[in-house]
Amino acid sequence: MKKNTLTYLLIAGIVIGLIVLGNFFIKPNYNSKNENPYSLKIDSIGQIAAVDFCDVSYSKIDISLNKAIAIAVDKNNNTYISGDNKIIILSKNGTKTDEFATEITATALIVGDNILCAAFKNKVELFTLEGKPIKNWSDLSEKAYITSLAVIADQIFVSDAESALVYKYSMDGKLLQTIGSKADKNEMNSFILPSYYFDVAIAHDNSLWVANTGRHKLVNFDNKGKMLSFWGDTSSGVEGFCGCCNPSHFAIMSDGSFITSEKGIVRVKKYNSAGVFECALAGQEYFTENATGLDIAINTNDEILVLEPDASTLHIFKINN
Amino acid sequence: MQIVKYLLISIFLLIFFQTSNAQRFPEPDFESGYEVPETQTIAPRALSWEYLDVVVLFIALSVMSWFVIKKRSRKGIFWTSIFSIIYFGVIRLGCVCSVGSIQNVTLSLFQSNYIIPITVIAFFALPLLFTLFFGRTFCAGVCFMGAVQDLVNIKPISIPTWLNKPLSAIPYIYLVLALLLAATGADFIICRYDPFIGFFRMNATFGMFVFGAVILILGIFIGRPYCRFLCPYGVLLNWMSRLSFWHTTITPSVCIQCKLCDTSCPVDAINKPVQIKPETIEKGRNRLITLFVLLPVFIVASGFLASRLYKPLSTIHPTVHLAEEIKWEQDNSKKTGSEDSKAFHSTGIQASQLFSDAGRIQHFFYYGTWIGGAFLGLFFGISLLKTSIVRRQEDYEPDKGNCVSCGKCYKYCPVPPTP
Repeated sequence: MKKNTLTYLLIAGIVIGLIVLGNFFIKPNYNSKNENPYSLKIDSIGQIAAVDFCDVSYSKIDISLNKAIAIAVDKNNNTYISGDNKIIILSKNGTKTDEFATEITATALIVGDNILCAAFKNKVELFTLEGKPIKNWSDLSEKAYITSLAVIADQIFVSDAESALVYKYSMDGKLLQTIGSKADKNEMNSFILPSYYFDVAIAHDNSLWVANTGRHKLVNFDNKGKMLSFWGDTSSGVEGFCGCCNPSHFAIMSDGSFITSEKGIVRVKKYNSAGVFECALAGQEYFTENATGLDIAINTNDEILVLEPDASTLHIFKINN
Repeated sequence: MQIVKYLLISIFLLIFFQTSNAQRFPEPDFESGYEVPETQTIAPRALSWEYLDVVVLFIALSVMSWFVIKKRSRKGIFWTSIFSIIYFGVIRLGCVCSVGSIQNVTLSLFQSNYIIPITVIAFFALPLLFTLFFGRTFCAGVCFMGAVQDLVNIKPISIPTWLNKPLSAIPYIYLVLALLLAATGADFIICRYDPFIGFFRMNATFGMFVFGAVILILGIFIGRPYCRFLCPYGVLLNWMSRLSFWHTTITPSVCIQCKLCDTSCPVDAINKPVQIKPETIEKGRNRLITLFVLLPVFIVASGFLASRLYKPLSTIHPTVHLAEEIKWEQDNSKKTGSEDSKAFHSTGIQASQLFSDAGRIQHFFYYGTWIGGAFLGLFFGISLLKTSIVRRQEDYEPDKGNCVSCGKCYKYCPVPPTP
């Protein structure tokens, strides 16, 4: 055999040897299709176990608005909904009985003693239950954004998400008090609001509850603005709140229980008057994906009305005993 | 591991001092009738030992590749490096080394009377072949010069790109020069200016001792300065590594872009994620077209400029150097009295014959410098072209060309290996 042939054979042998060596002994195990082991597994977040659901009766009403914003009920169980620059009124059985136009869509609604209070960004306006204007005032700043209203006797509480403060007015528009502190960020009465979700409600003991959504807490104040208590845990579990601004909305039932709604992980839950989780009324399956701004109102029959703005749907839940 | 590192540095420093003492004292003048024995020429190593060296090289490359790619073991890489320093450096005294073998291969291609040993070809080709398959695992530590620098690099700092890029061109210039001088048989400059071999052989000249010491002291802070900014063999390995089938990766599984490895590379060979903006593409396209048109200009201009150096470069060749000396003697009608001149005159060879030989060599240098210069112009042009081509990259990945597979980035990746 010629020397050249031997050399070529040697080179070929070495190359084949390297291929074998590489393929069977040195080649790495990994491949680029492996999954990131640290990726946030969110599939299970928001899933509610069957045992955590309340026994509820459910129905829903299409309210025929392009975008609904706020909801309130009166003592006769008529429902008031703002949207598309008007306020519509539904009867107890869900049929539309009346509507009246507004300059812009009301950002918050509440019904007091035969009076409908509406907020239009930085303006508060009072109407008769038929929609006749009575009085309005807008002494808040141009940038103010009122997200919620609460009424007790002749006082009205106004939550402004821009200033992160709650203002107490008399019914004739006189500012009586400011609730919340910007001085000490560590205190629970300092409201942290990453986005404009800032709900308020009056409990049956006439105390004020405020959603401190950045802290995932509901905070209780007496009528003089003194903080009394708070509850709420940060958790992605069903018993807690998570994300930037939850609970985005809440309402209080006749027995003092709280009904909360959340965005991000879309769900509606019930807590007892001490803030202990009791059960979930609804999970994502009741709503469209990424539903937000689920405003809540509770009528005298303890029916829970949840307004889904983008779907323009009113969800009605009744907890069965 | 740290203790071993410091111990090795101490040993090397001790070797430096011993080396610098080696030729300090002149030979004593004996008056007692003692006759100084004749200088013995060491017999060449038996062929079987040469073959053993090749086998050891093959095994070392295989083991290193296994540690780098399969096991991802920095400890394994470290101990293989120690073995290479001991075997290829201390025992074999660094010869033949793969880096210097470029010159033997080149000489064999241009000088028909030079027979290159098969073992030298193996030392030249095996690391290149392994690099083609597994990346620069030879550089990781089988090369004793790389291994020494890796050991002393205890406080690595990053070199800014504006400095790194121009310095990275030096190996190309060095390669062209080494090939030209080897092809003409003028000199083996890679061996002559090897900064470490003098330490292992304990016969470094003072200049080379200082050079080696500077490289090692720099190497404490700058990762592998010789490998990155001088090694001509690294140019070939760089090319091969870019084509490698199985190159090491920073992560054992998937890059989660945590940036922890961002500054971990001692040789600045980590490519970072690149987001391409539309305006970048537009600008890059225009510049690419301009540079592409200019590429032949770079090649010709660089070849022309380099060819202007052919005369001074050719004087490195002993024949040309002698011819110039004899020419000077003829022009000035007197003798230089040098040993070379005396030796030439004693041979009785005609000066015209010498001038003819020198002319032929100079001719070779002329074309050599043209080709070498054109190659450098091509390299320069492609380097500029590359700056205009932005490739989308989503993960932190080793730069396959410049990564020396030292494995120092492994521990920075928090992702566990795939089970």
